[in-house]
Amino acid sequence: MKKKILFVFLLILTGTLTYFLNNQFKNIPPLGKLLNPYNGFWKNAESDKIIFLNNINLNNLNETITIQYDSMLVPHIYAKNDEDLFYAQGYLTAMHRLWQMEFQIKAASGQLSEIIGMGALNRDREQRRKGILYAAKRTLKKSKTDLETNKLLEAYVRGINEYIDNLNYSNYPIEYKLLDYKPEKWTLLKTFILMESMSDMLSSRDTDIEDTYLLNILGKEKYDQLFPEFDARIDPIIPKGTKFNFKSKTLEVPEIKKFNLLPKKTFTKAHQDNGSNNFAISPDKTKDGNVYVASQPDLSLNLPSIWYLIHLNSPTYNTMGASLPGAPGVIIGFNDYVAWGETNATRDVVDWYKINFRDNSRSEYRYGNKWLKTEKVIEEIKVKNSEAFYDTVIYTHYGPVSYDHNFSRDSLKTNFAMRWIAHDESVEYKTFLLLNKAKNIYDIEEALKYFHGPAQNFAYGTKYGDIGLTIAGKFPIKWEEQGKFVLDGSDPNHEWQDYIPYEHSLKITNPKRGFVSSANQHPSEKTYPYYYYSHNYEMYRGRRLNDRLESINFIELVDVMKIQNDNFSYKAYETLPVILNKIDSVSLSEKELKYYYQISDWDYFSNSDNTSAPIFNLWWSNIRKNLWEEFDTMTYSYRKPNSFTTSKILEEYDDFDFYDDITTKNIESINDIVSKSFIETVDSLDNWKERNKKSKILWKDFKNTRVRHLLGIESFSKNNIDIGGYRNTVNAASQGHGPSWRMIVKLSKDEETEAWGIYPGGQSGNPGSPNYFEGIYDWGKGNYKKLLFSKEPLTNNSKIIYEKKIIIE
Amino acid sequence: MNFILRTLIIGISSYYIPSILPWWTIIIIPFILGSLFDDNYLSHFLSGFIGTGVAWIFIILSIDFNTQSILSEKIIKVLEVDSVNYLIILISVVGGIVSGLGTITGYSFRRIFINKKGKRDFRFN
Repeated sequence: MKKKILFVFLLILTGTLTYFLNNQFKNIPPLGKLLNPYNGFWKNAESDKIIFLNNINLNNLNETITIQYDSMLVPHIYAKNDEDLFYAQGYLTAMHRLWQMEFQIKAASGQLSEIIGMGALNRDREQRRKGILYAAKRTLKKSKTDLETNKLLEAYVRGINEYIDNLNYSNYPIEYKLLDYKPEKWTLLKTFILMESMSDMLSSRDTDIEDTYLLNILGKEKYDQLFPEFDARIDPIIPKGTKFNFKSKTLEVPEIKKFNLLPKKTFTKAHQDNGSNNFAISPDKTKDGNVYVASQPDLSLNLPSIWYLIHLNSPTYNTMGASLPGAPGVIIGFNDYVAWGETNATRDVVDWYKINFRDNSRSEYRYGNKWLKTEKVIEEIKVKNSEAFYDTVIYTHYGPVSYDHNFSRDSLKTNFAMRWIAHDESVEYKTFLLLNKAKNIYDIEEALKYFHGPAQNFAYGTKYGDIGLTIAGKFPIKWEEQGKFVLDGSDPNHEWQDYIPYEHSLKITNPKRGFVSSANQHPSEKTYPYYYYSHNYEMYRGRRLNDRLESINFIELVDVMKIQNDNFSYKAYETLPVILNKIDSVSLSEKELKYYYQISDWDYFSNSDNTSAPIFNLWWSNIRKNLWEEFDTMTYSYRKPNSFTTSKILEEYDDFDFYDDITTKNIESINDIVSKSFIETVDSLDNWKERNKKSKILWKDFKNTRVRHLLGIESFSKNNIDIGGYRNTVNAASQGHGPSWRMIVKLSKDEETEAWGIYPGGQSGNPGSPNYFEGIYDWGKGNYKKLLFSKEPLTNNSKIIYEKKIIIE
Repeated sequence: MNFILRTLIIGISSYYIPSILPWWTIIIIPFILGSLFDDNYLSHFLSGFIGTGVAWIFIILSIDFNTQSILSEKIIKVLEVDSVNYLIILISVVGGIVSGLGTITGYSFRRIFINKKGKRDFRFN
């Protein structure tokens, strides 16, 4: 008996220990599974860049294919037909980026809690309430009607799944092992969720609720002063003075209602710095008489990078550039004939409608003199190590009632439905697949017709010397200020009536000034016949970019590189003289004077080793904090006036309501605020020096640009990158945002297309690959890599580090 | 001889487990050896512990050397372990314990059916 007990005891002990080592508990990863030498994380370590490529195993090809990798680890796929081409793209992208692809989809569609746990629940709820999945499903349905595109999308999905099917635990990407979950099958829907996730990142940001609240408090006059739509200094994308020879459909402005009952809390906003620049230069302006196209999408800097470089070649395609892992084709790139790049065309395409439900069952809502039916969707959010969370979201014909008492314990009467252009069906992938094989400017214009959103400023050039820029996207026609504040969902006249026809979209072709450019600024002057609005037009980068392009006459490749890496701070140039003027240097201590003299001498370039940029940026943010502190007493979601308006007010008004701090007895002047902020700045900077044990405060150290792993794992991320620039400079590298891909393309009438590019990260998304951090250093330094681009497989080229030819007979 | 032989068999079997199989299959051979050979608990445990532990140290060291610690340096920060060497020892000890437990479970299984032969002094042989 004793022996049996001992056996059972040992059996249970061994079994339990093994079980614990094989499963995750709370935050402790399954140590045995993760750390064992057979298929644990050790298997994800790569001794060189090539070894991993031996895994390529494409089993469902129709014809022979050749795949070559260059020293940057860019795959060059030479296929004999388009289906094989996109099938291989899906496979090879998944090989390097599978975890990221799936993670991005889970994040966008609100399924992160499933793998991360409770911490992601609020975020997931917001994503569900935005209707990302609803939008993706509609778009998928529409896209299926376009058989040609659909065939290629399906091939791409097949490729991804082929890779997934051949995986076992041993070769799961490391993140799956750390979080202990499995890759799931890829679907066409996921590819569409990716596009919605881009829309979410780039076009979902709005401040309608905040502004309605501010308007109620401040009154129209003050509100307009603090949040103006236009300024005389703007340098719009479509140059000033452009004549428009068409008229907008006239809309009658309906009765406007005032709403006082607003949601207290609004969605987490997409990052404000999501912005970019692009430009194309005509042959008349370049030294060698060629066209140059440059594109720099400014996005969240992450590892694995949002971009994956690829070269796609088949009898119909020969295109190269940055692709989005999860989407077929090239998103920002070039081919033998043309090149194109996008920046975000910020415009208010999200509006909020106040919904009046008939009763608490919320099954009907008022629309004109009718009651319309709602649809209830129960969202099941699975939570790791916990029970699933259920959220009921009501859908109206406008869209989901995102803000209601389920969301933030607002009153039962506070119901707002989201009308977002991304909810509409569209066929964006068609645009890219057409652009990828465009041969001239007409092909490009044709391709852009199908692009609905997230609206983008497409700058492009062709080898025949044409350049152009089109603001492509679906925009509702609005009456003045429609949708700037919340709208009445019960009044049909408040609804979007129609959309701006493609022929009336903003566009320039071969302008006299010899270049086209954009940097998220205003699209045009107010003379454009259609009303447009955004709370978030960039006020500085566009002007600097245009200044540079105008002032250089015989532009060469090096100039283009210099422009992309330009660190001139237009903001400091305009603001610093104003605030320096308001400080009484006599009253400063010796220590403060040292800083004062230093900042007075600044040339406004935020280079990485500059020591004045930290002073200015901290000083300016202190001024804004001290000046607008009354805003912080508000209990609802709000926003503050931006830097541009703040500096304008400081310049124009000696006396202004907000200068005085109402919590103190004395009446403060702006000079008091500026001086006080300066002294605070000096203190913080001295503290910074002490804390970091540094005698000098270099800009790069102070701002700390970093490329963060998507899970925020420190050792998978790179901190303190040696790079200058900041959010309002052309080289817009701030802490976590920046030029996520720099591309320059030279298009020549007689020569082959040439291109240079760099992005902060490696092609391999595996932290265990020597390639993982590649690119970051050179990117920071402003160096470029020449991209290898050819019409056919290269033989005996030293830049090809790996080749695989799969012969099908 | 018996002890060394068993340790060697466990070591070699632990070295050659294919990556397709789950890691805990290391238990199988030690369990079988435990239930086949007559010895004492300590000797059995040590044969599993040393066999697998040493095999793991060898496999991991060769991977880590080949890949120049590219990933282990990052993982130790995630797990808050001080150094890669420490991690290697730690995981090898864990592997050794699991394997050792496997052998004595096997041995206790044997003991249910077969009584121990005459008592001997403790010796490694």
